[in-house]
Amino acid sequence: MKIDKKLLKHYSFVALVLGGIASISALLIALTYMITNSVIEENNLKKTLESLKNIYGEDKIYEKVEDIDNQSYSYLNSYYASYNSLENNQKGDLIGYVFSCDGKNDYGTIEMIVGINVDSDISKIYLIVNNQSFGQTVQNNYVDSFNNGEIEIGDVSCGATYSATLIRDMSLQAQQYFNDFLGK
Amino acid sequence: MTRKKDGKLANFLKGIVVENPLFVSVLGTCPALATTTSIEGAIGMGILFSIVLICSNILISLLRKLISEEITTPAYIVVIATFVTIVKMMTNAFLPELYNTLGVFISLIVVNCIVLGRAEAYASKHGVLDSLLDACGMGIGYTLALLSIAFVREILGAGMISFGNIFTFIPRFDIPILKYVENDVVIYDYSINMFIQPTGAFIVFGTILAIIAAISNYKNNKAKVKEKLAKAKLKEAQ
Repeated sequence: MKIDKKLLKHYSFVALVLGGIASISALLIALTYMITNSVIEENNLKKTLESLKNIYGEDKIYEKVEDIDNQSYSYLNSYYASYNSLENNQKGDLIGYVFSCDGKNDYGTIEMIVGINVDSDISKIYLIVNNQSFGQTVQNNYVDSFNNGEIEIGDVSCGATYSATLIRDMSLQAQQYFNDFLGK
Repeated sequence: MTRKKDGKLANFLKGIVVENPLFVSVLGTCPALATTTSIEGAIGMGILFSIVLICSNILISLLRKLISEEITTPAYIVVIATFVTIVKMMTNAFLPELYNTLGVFISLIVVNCIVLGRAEAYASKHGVLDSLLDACGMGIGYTLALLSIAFVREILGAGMISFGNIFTFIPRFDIPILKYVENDVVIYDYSINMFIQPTGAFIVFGTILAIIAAISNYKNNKAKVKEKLAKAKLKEAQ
């Protein structure tokens, strides 16, 4: 088989150009990632710390305990201990733990925090990111109703059942983690 | 020399008025409808769009002799996607409020017809300076178009113009127009919430397009009448 050298040269050049553009693009993106990653993580942490106040109130002290890297608790990212605040900002009694979780289903993603009291009850759920198709429905009919004590955590029939199921699973996983590792 | 300078100025200005990408070419309408609920959001979208357009136009113009015909589209997409990714990461890091407000529409700049269109139709055939001027003109034109839609929608829909919600580095303040709130008490509120919703976006965009079409028709008709009159006068003189 005769190889057309001219054609081969042309296509090699074309491949080289496209490869070069792709490589430079990858380098630029990697460089930007290196610059921005720490800032983005810091922003996210700040956002999470700010949202912690929605669980046990502003007048409490919140401290990060650790990140969770356990396959059995795939929804959980990290958790924070919450204490009563005494005079001079001293830590009082432990009230509970706040777990930062995120999950995904066919209808979008949810990032949330859930408070687990020292007696292992789920105290409150707060959605940080709610990209579900029926996001407002699950907020109104499930999260708000649960936080107001109108429904139990398992009552997921709310008009956004799949979203509520995801939130329920994340909350129960946080409760399970508490029972397995933190409860007495 | 002056003619060359005039050419460059015309090249820059054409994107702002005569060839405005949104109001004349009717391109990039999806983000125009979705991100114009507030003036700050529109400015943010316009700036990010302009940065991507300027950077991609410059790079494509620089590489135009290297990129052969077979790979123009993939090469342009790679270049545009790179700049969009960089802009997205930067926005997420340094302007998180803008990032949250614009959401998926930052990523969607990759498939914006204006960016790819300018790369194909202009940057790939012209020098760096011309491509830069073209991108600046188109970017400013698109930003102004977004701004005009957002201005109408925010006034009619929210009743007031707010600053400092998205660009948190400026102090927060509201300019009450159709709605006035004092110490959390609404004194008067004539705003129409529909204009903040997608329906309002279509109505405002359609109305602006209709006004532009009416002005354009009026000018064309006036020119035709003038031409006819001139011809009639010429006939009379003969």
